[in-house]
Amino acid sequence: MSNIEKFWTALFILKDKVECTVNGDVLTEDDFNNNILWKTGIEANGKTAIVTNTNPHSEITWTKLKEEMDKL
Amino acid sequence: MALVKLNCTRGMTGNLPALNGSALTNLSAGKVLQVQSGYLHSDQSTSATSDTATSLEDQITPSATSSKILVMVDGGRGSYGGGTCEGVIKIYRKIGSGSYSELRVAHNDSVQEAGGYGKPTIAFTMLDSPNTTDAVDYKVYIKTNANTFYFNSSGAQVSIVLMEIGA
Repeated sequence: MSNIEKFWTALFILKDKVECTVNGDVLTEDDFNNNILWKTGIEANGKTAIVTNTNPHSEITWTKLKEEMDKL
Repeated sequence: MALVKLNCTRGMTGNLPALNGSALTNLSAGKVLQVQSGYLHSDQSTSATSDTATSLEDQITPSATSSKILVMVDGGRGSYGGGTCEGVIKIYRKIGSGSYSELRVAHNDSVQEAGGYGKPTIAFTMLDSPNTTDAVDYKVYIKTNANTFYFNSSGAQVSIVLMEIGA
């Protein structure tokens, strides 16, 4: 299982069906803070996601995510 | 002037004369005025069901409002995670200080069947007419209908090339 596959598996363990886009890998806390675009809504055009680099999900933290990734 | 002889049985012999774009003074249209390019090798993946930006982008500033921009996006290695998904790849465009908006669907229904062998690559070309001399940014956006869609994976290269074509 590749690192990015571990990320997605761990992420969905912490919170199923969370919506985000990852540009690159997530191996460090810096990656966690910079490489993930978290979807928080949809723009008025009905197509484009409203996103933020700031994780809006309290269930998901870098520490918890890393723990789950390390189990895989 | 260099002499080029064409031997019908052996092909061309001799040296071709040097040529550069400035010599093309008698062409009235279709010149390539500039080329910009960008590429990446990193994974680009999403679980979002709405269009979200990837890191694949490039910018070009047309020299005339009549210029056209040939946009080419090629390569990559599509994939899926967590089960079958249908990924969609779109080209978004931003002119000047404006905001990005959808320009074209580049690749639709990229079905990744679990247990199958689908690892599609993208081969997309379009001719855009931005009608501006402001900087024009093109960026790839992706979304999925379910599970995780990989626009690029496993270190494959995906590239974007922008060519300004003189009118």
